[in-house]
Amino acid sequence: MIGLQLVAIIFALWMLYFSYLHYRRHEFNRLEFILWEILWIGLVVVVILPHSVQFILNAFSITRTFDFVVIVAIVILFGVTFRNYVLQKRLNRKLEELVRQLTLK
Amino acid sequence: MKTFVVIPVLNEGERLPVVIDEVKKFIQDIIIIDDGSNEKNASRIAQLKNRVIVLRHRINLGKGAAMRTGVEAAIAHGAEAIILMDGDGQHHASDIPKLLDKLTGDNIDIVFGSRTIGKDMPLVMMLGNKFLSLCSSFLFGLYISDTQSGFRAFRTRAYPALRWDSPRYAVETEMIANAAKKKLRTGEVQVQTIYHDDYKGTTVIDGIRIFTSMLRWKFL
Repeated sequence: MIGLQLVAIIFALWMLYFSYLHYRRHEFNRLEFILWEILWIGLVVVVILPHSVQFILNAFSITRTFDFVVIVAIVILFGVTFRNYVLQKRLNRKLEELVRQLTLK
Repeated sequence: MKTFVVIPVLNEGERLPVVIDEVKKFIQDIIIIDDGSNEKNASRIAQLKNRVIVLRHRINLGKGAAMRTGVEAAIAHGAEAIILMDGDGQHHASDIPKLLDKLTGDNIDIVFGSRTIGKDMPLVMMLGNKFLSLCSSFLFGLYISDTQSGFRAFRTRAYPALRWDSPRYAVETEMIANAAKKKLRTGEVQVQTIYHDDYKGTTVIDGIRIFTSMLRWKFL
């Protein structure tokens, strides 16, 4: 378990740095930056101190902290996938309109 | 009735001049939409500018999107009726009068040119087509024997009701769904078809996508 915890911490720190880089490049606004940092710091905290979320595990009848992390990850993935889907549809439509306008000009 | 033929094409530089020659025997106003063909084909298509209106999508958007651009260009040129046909030579221009006679004679909004199912049509395509026809009939109450034929004619006044969003091959079926939902007057005529060896039409995967789109148009 220690090895897996180490990998998770390295990954989270790596993503913390990437989130910061995107913020510095003005690709994330401040709110996005804070939200992503909370997510990665939260992951580090849960990995180092699994009992810190014991009250949540009790409230939702989840046995292991690992299960909790996986459930949260899946929920986030669904959310991000949905948002990507909506954005992709919107971009497709905008691109089509732009190409059509250029063609008919 | 001022009629335009709209032909969306992708990499059809070789066959297109022949198609245009054939169409010119019946209709003079032709709009070609080059939907992002490669350089070689794009330059061949561009050479036709002195004979027809050639418009070019800078990137490939799909057949449905090209058809919309073509139709909107035709309307801007004052078209009262529009004929859609494929640029690969699979449709016979000699069927154009048949489509127009039906459109004007019966005063209807859209005429679907249906290929003879079962004769020269590849088996997979025949079965898929039949399945989609039955689905169209069941879901929208409009049976068209060949839902995937791109050879059709409609009055410009019907375009706001027909206007499609599908950028790719679902466009033909979406037109049928829209015509049924908006209660347009529809007609159907038999047309001839030549299937080329390198036929690039609807695949089985496209068929599945079209079916799921039909469910979406019906229920969402």
